[in-house]
Amino acid sequence: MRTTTASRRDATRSCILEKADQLFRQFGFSKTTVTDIAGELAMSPANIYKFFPSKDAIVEASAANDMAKLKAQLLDIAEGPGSAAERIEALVVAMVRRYLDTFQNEKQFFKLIVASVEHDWPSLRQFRKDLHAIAADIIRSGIDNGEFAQAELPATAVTFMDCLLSVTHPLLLRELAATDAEAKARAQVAFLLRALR
Amino acid sequence: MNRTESSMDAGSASSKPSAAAAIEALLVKIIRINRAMFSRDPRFFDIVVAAGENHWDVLDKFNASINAHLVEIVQDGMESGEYRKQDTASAAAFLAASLRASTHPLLIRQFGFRNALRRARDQVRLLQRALA
Repeated sequence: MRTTTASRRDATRSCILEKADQLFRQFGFSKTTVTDIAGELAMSPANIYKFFPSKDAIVEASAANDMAKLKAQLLDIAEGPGSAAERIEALVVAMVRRYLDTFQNEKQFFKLIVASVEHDWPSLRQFRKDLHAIAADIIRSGIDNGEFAQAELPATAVTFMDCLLSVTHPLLLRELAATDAEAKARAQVAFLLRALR
Repeated sequence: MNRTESSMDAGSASSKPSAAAAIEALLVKIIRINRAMFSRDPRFFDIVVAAGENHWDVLDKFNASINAHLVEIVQDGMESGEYRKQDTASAAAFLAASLRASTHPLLIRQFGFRNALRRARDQVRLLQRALA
């Protein structure tokens, strides 16, 4: 009985989040109100507040959801086939494609990403930690199979990913949007991989 | 006179910092300038965001000036044997791109000024291996 109530609650929360996400992408998070979200779902704003304490909480949950999807994609790459070097490159290219696509095709949602950087939301900090852990796992597998030299982990992975922020950070990547960001990212990875060998 | 000049040159050459030290010094300077800018003007974040979004010339000029410094440092590093022989311009461009975490105002602010110096030093150490 308790499980059913909890799962119903989870379902409603997901439903609110899904609708909010849709409105944020369409109109922007600053122009979307809790009343708008509630109206679309035919529920009262008071009901929304039973699931999220504030609009900010919905906005941050939406950003966290988006980052969770990207993390899942990066985990697939990390656990997939290919050498460690190939997987590192694929991971970086996936991030480049994801952020460029958002910047070029979902301008409104990109503003939410900018806000997450500006205020350094906990979800963004967690994503960075997850990203470093994923990169460390790939590098560790490269050390184990003799592809890379011994290195201190996760510190080396953190620094390695720091050196790729010009192509993996959403705000910096936007500065490259007019050029061939993907080619730049591949060349940058190739340059940095020398440091691991 | 000539001998004095030579010995002065030799003296300055021998006291010339390594390429790694020169990069670190450049990063420390940039991080300190940024810290001053952010504490002086709270709107600095918005200004930098707008500069990136609208591809302002000032941003290109800022990046170009960093690149120019790095070209010199890489050149010196190759001449002293600290770095392997390679295309200077492209090595400096990779170096500049790799160091954006420590030179871009938004990232310096995002990761915190105290952390910025430590991160910069870690980056220099890793990049030495990529260039050697």
